[in-house]
Amino acid sequence: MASETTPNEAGDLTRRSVLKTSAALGLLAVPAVGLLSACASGGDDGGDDVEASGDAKNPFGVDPKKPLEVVIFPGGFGKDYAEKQKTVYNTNFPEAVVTINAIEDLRAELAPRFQGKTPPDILQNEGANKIPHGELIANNQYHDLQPLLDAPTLDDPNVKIKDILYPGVVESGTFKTTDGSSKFFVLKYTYSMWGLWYSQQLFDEKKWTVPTTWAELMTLCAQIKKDGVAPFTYTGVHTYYIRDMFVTLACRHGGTDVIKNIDNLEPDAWNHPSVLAAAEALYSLKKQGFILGGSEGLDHRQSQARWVKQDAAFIPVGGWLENEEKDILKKEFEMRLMAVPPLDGSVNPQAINAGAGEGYAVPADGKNVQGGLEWLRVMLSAKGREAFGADAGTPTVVKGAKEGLPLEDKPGLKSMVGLLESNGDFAFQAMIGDWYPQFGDGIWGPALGELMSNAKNAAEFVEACQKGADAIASDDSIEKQKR
Amino acid sequence: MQTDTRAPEKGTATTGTRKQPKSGGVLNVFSHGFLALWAIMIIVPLAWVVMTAFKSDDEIFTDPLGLPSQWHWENFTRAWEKAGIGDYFLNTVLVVGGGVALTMLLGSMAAYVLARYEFRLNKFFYLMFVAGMMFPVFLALVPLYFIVDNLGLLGTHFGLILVYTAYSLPFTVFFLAAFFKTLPHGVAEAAMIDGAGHYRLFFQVMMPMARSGLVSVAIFNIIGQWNQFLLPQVLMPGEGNNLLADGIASVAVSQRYDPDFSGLMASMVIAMIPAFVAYVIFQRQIQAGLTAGAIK
Amino acid sequence: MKQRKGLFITSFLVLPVALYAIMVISPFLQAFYYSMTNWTGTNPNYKFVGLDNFKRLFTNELYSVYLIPALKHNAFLLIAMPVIVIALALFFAFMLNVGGRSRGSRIRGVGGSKFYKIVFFFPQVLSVTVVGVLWGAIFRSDEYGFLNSILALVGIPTKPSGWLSDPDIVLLLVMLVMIWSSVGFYLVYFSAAMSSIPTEIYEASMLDGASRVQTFFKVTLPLLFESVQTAWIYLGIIALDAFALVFVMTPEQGGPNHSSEVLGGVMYHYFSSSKAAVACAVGVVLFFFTLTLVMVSLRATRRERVEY
Repeated sequence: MASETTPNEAGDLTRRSVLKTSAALGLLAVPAVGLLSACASGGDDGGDDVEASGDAKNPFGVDPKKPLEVVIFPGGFGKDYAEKQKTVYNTNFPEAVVTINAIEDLRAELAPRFQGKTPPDILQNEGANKIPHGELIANNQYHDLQPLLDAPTLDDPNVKIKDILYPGVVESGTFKTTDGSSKFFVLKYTYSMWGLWYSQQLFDEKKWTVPTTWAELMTLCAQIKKDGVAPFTYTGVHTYYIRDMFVTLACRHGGTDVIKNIDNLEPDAWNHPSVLAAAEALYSLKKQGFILGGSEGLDHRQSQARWVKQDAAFIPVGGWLENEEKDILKKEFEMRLMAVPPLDGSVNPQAINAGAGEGYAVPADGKNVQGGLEWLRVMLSAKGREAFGADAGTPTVVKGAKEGLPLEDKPGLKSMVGLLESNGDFAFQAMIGDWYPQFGDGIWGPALGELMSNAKNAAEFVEACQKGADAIASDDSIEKQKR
Repeated sequence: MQTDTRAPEKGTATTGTRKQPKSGGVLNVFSHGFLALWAIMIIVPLAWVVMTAFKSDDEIFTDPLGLPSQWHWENFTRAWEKAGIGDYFLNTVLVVGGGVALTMLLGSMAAYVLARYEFRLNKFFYLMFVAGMMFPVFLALVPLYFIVDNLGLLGTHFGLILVYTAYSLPFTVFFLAAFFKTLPHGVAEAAMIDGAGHYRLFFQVMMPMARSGLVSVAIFNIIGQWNQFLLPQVLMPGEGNNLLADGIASVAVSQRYDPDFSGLMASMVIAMIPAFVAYVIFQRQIQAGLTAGAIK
Repeated sequence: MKQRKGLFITSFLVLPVALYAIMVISPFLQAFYYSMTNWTGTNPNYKFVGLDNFKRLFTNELYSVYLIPALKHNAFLLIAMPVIVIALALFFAFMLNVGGRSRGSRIRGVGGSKFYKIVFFFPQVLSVTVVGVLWGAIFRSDEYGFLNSILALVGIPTKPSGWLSDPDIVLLLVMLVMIWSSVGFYLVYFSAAMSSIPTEIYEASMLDGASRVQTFFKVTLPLLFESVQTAWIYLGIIALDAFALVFVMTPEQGGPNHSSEVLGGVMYHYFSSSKAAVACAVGVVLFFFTLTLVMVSLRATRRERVEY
């Protein structure tokens, strides 16, 4: 790996300064990760190489007695589903002791374990404190998931796993390694979308009709405001919650290429008229008084609570909202999802911001890599999906995943699945924020926040983003991705 | 503050009369008003936290200002059990107690020698300590983590005490050295003539003489170490190991996934009460300590 | 005898110096080295890159959006916060010690001064995160926030852009909280110093016809000069470490749009986004920043001690 650097010099230095390291560095744990792998060797010795055999019962050669540690990020979906998937795993390997740990601050607790070469066998690497996949992949700390794709499904020995996944799933989990090749490292498990949530109950009660265009939405907002409800609230302090409204409007207005050009850091990508149109639309929300007072200072739980209390009509959140707020949501609330309605003159009005999410990976240094792969196979099986669907109420990346979902109990889920079915062919995702977190967190997010709160106008927003994108493009130290 | 300076206050003025010279009167109204305002700014928010800690989550939002309709004591049990505020508190007391004691011992030893003995590297050591006041602790964190870990002290109270002490030395040495310099030389000489060795001179003569200065620097150190946030966050990984500052922070962060605002408020009240009690008990000593230290 | 003295000096210095060298000096030297590498925190094969990180921090848009505001904010805090705290604390201390009505030529503090001293000090014993969470709830941006509820009670509408989410005032609010929690301590500290000034000095000054205000500036302040200097240094250290409050209180920990960024927070950001070398470089910037300010302020405040 990275042969152009000088491993000897670095190796010596780190061997001197790094010590036996097994414990944690708290929030700042990450810098330690590299040091240890430096000690171990600069080479790619990450774990055993596992290949899928034709054995449908045990394609990866799992040692039936080896324990398995599963780490779950208990954010939007909790961890109950994993407990149920455990029983599926244990039907084939009854002697294996499976431990499921739910960890919120992944960085603090896991970085030292990666560093100490004692990572868990399966990791759901998500949440505000996730360790970027790219960082771990660069150090060969994820195991290649190709064997999983080649393995037969648990339900039908004649069908391979790669054939049951939605298109785009493998692509979204494939990363460039340091030697320039691309491998499939991350299984994104959920198939979900972002959009505007509303309460059908509230709409019925106030006799509002669901808008199909941006102009209709604006008329409706004026009505909503007149009826004493705030049309919108949103999560102001975590600005990535606002991204969806912007990318959906721009993508619908100008087509998918608008987003692709942005992702590919094309010069002037942000100066596209559709980008400006989307920004102006968002800017106008606050200008017209359509936003619940103080939304820019609310975190996601606060803004969602206000929306559940029907203080605001719409809220932009991802597909997990129904599950996240299940403790306070009543069924008669009848939550519904719609994509942000298209601006006038949109060329791609059916586009939805949808795709695979929630990445699971098998750490290369785990004690039970085979078991980790097998666990993913369990997750993708009919029973595994059922367990997830029942608890987490979210479709998975397996085709036809709607079967087994508790659609009748979860009105929000039902409406999302409907949208995924009707508009699935127009699904798109913006990658720039994930590919270049410095841009997403340092430039784009703050600029979006200021656009929403009207501290910046649309032109200033575009200018700030273009400037930031240019800075990424001209920075040689940043590895560029292409789609 | 613009008062009529031409109306000097007479020493013989009688009490409580409006005929008082303007200066005192205006100043009194102004100062009382301002003092009262500041007191309100402190009491009201704290009282609000206490009140909120007794409410249900729902009530906090529907009626943020009113008294609790029902006193939800269970918020406190929940906070105590779930967050382990009691442990955080004990950990903090232990570490700050040990840290300040060790800081004062090592700090006064170094300061004493540097202030009152001449030797070759005196200036060098003194500057080395004092320069530490300018180091941002953050800069040292990552290497420090490895050092503490290498010593086998990661996640231990003792390790944290050593780190607190090391990082309190610059300030402590700086002020105690200045203080030791002001102590009269005559007493020391007399003691030496009486046959007291250097050690006895330090522990039996100089330390008692410097008591006031020591107390005042110790108070600064208690305040400083009590408020440490970064060091425990990094050097005390793992659950149940938290100190108050990072413990409350992690309770606040977990709100993102499992909102329990009343529980958070209850945790804060639990965290505040012992500090409050300790302060009320010791405030006389604190003030006395600072008074003594103020004159040099 | 000489030997024994040497032994004594060594025995007293060895522990503090060793502890200090291991825990403070050596990590700082290491961090200086890291700041000149391309260490991300995870790449084993990092190499020496000279001053690249520093160049990036100041000139690359992606980095300067963090660093430049942070430098400005720390400079602002470093100047404004200690001045305000010291001014308020001195004023309160003067009130509590000398501000009261005179009775039979006795100098006294205002009524209730004991009560004030207890109350004002209290925020200082609260843990900094408790303070942050408390004020976060007070400044909550919608109508459920404490401050907004109070305003609503007296008929003032909710501030539309929130409090901590208003880029124009968020830093001021952070500073206000810092002031809120430290004034009490310095009040007690100064009033301790004031009470050790013999009351005859005041009485003499007042008999000379000086007003309280004049007395304060002509008598009290010069005699308190050393205490003020001590307070200044300690407050300066606190001002540079505003990180804890920014971390707990502000949106996106330094936002909105970097308008409450401080250097500690920027370091934290780079550590936690796998740019450890950049984080170290920010720390080095902070070091030289502090060094400059200390030099300047030492020069500015150098003066003779006042004896009495």
